[in-house]
Amino acid sequence: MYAIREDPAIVDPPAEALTGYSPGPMTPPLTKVLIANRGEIAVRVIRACHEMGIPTVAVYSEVDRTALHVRNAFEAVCIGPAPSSESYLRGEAILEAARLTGATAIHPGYGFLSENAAFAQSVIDAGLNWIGPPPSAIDAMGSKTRARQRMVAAGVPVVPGTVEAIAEEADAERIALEIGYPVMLKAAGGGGGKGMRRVDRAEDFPAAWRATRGEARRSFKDDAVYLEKFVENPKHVEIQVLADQFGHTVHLFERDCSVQRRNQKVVEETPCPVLSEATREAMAQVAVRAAAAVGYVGAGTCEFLYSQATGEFYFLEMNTRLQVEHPITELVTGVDLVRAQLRIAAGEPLWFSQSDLRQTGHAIECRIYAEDPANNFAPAPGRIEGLREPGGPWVRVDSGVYAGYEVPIHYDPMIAKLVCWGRDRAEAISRSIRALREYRVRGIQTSIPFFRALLADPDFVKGEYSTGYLSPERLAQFAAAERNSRIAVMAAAIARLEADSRPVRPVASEGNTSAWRMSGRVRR
Amino acid sequence: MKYEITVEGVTHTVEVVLQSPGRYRVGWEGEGSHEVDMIRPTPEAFHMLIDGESWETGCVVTPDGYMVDVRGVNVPVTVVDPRRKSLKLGVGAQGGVVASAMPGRVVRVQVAVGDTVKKGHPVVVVEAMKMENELKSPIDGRVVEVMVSEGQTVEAHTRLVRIEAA
Repeated sequence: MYAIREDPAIVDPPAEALTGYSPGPMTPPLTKVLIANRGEIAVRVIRACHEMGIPTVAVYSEVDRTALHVRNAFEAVCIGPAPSSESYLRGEAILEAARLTGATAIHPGYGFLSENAAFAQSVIDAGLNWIGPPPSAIDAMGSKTRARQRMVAAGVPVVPGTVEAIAEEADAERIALEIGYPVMLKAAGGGGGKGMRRVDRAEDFPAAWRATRGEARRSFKDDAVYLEKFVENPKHVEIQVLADQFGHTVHLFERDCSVQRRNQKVVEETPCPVLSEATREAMAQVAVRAAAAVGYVGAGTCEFLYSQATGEFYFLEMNTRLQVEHPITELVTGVDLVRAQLRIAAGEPLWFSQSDLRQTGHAIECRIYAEDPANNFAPAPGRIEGLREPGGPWVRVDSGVYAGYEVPIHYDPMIAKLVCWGRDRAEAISRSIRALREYRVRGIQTSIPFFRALLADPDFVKGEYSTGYLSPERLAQFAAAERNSRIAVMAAAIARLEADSRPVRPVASEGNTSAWRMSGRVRR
Repeated sequence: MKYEITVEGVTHTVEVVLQSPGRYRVGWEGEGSHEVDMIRPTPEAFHMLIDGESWETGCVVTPDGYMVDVRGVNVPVTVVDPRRKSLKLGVGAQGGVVASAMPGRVVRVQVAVGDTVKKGHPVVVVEAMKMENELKSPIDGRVVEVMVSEGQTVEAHTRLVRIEAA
């Protein structure tokens, strides 16, 4: 339904005997897949497995008994109490669940244990199929510093600068001149925007150097400072790659993930609205080279910083797992990335080549969070009293919730993703706004109204936004959604009159319903 | 029936009359009125035809009113029946109660009974979804009751601390 193109070279084959999918060399078969995750991504992976005729096992924490992935899977095993450290992060509990159910493969989703090389190794050591890259590739990309050194050796461009702190002012000044102004001075102990100073001209360098060191000493009790080239108004652009077990690596084009709040992606789109064909191709080639350099297998993503001013791009890091925003790539390429992960893990060589792949149309994803934009984006867990998900052509909702579900307090606030496709960017934007208008989540606050304002913003529509786009001013502007007070007053007046005229109020809509009381009611 | 309905800090005095099943007339004090045809397709959904205009809304009960979804924006609305207002005031609702805005876990209780606090003084920190939310005293006063302890899990609207006006 969502495959835009019907290209025989890339459409999946019929699910003939995919149960017990014929294994490649040294690869345990995918007889039954355990999904070591929760929420929308677990639901997403379960769907792909079921389409391929592969039975699934969900794992869940005690508080997630009611979660959608548990309801959708063929089997489910409780792996511990609510805190992630006592459930979803406990590798041995997950392996035990696999033993218990006879699962032969583990899909880690994203987050949790997905980029944990030791866990990946323990899965393999247990004789199971790890649906992800080899532990050595996870390890190689795991540390930013090590990954950077490795990428430099592979000829991949990284942000020019030093990795180690510089001791002498004269050395620092020489390096700054070499990489070219503007440069950024960064305190090694800093982070989150603190302990950084931008220097535009050589004559300002000595003063800035001393000020940054002094500040670092005072703020972080460590005056180690390193420097990097300052990339002006950068975009965060990433390239999706797929590699099989036989050394074939292809890319599935880019995603623009520059709309971020607190370094968290909020909206993603593909294609990137400002990338030239030549830059796209160059960036993609670098991503393929980076993946190949670490012996990558499966689905992975190389993140780049792209300067709109100079057209240059720099490797940031590689995410050695499926990304949250993978659906936008699926919509423009027609490739189901989770099915691809499963087929690659089963030992199948890539069934299409780079020249079979094309970007068709435009796709946008909005991450729906259970948070209150009008209240400084405070988390808004609680019971979803009513849910109307949007539909219609080229609208996809990957959701982990349902009406009556209590969004727990223990995990990430992302409850769903809205992904829309259009022939071009304008159509994708207007379709997204229409879908956001249909989308109703009642009982808890969500970021839905925020997205309606964001997607209609002229600067977003222009497409030239950078990672600094969501400034405090813009956040406030988008959070202040139009409120139809008079309509709310009328609804409340009628609801109250109804309640007052009824002898007994309906019990189910009381605000304070707790999971405990609800289960008590069921038992009676 | 007359109600005082507060939304976005503005109080509206509204009269609502049931005319026939599902049909209401809603009038603002000193203004005209609207004909409203209302159905409830699901328990929380509240579909209104207001003078023929279609409004898909939702109404979820909260302790002091409703959370009304209008075009996807969830607006908190408080409703007061003027006939009962005088009763409520008589109970001595002076002072302030700090309640949890959301379900979560109490990570810090920053006051003890007897403490003097200023308006805006942080009282309790509740954590949910890896984010800490600092709850502040609504008034200048003295802490007379602490109803929760650190580590405790609380529901939305749970009363945490009671403060008596100074």
